[in-house]
Amino acid sequence: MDKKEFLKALDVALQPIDKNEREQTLAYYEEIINDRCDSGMSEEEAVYSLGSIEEITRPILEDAGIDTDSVESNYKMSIWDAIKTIFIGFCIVCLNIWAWALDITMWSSGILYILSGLFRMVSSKAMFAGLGLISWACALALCVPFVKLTKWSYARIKEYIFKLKAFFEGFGGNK
Amino acid sequence: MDIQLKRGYIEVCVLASMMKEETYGYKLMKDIEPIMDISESTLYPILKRLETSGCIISRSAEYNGRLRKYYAITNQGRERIKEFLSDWHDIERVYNYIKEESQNG
Repeated sequence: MDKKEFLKALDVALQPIDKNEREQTLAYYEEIINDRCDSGMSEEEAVYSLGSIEEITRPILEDAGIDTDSVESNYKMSIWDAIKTIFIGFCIVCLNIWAWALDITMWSSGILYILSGLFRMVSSKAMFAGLGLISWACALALCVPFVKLTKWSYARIKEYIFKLKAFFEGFGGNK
Repeated sequence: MDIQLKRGYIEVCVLASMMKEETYGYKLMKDIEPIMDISESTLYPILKRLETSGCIISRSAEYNGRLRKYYAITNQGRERIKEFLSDWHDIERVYNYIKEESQNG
């Protein structure tokens, strides 16, 4: 396991605690790995010397008052949870594509209408339709924080992929 | 060694290692490793607890183009060390009693 993989796995295992605390924990371990690498260890060796993810997370979760046995079952999702996660992930992706596509279509068709009106390819009334479309597109962009939505979706999807990966790995391991 | 007891000792060791100057995770490990068997996963919750109880304070500073967290002892932390050292006489008395009685038996 290299540093990146280790931190990812730690992030997944620490999902039950709050974000701020999780980030602090990750920063602590990242710093230790970096310091060990600076002192001549390889990344793999540095990660290996930290012990297992379970060893690391148990005291942290216990300190946060989380029952580690229930976490384990939580972390190894049920098949139903996995399906739910895939479905929600799919919806989030669709919502994003739909929102972006809608706004881009409105912008581009608005501009096209205005241009074709300008060059008298169609009646000049088309320009008003174009202006109308663009103002709708602007209104939509103002109401929906697109960049924020996409960033949020990206973070959710990433988290879901970790969880699903852990699920399928656990699935394979339990056989 | 009993886990609770060990945790208490490590806490005081961590505090003592900061008496001279502020320190950071990796250095702490190196300083304490020869004295007690300790791992990063034991150290982390201890640092957190010491910080919440006000015995140490931390700050992040840049080192080699990345962030490193430095820990420093507070007055409360110094008090904690003093307490531990003065408690030691009581512990010694108990230890001697246990030792004597078990030799008599």
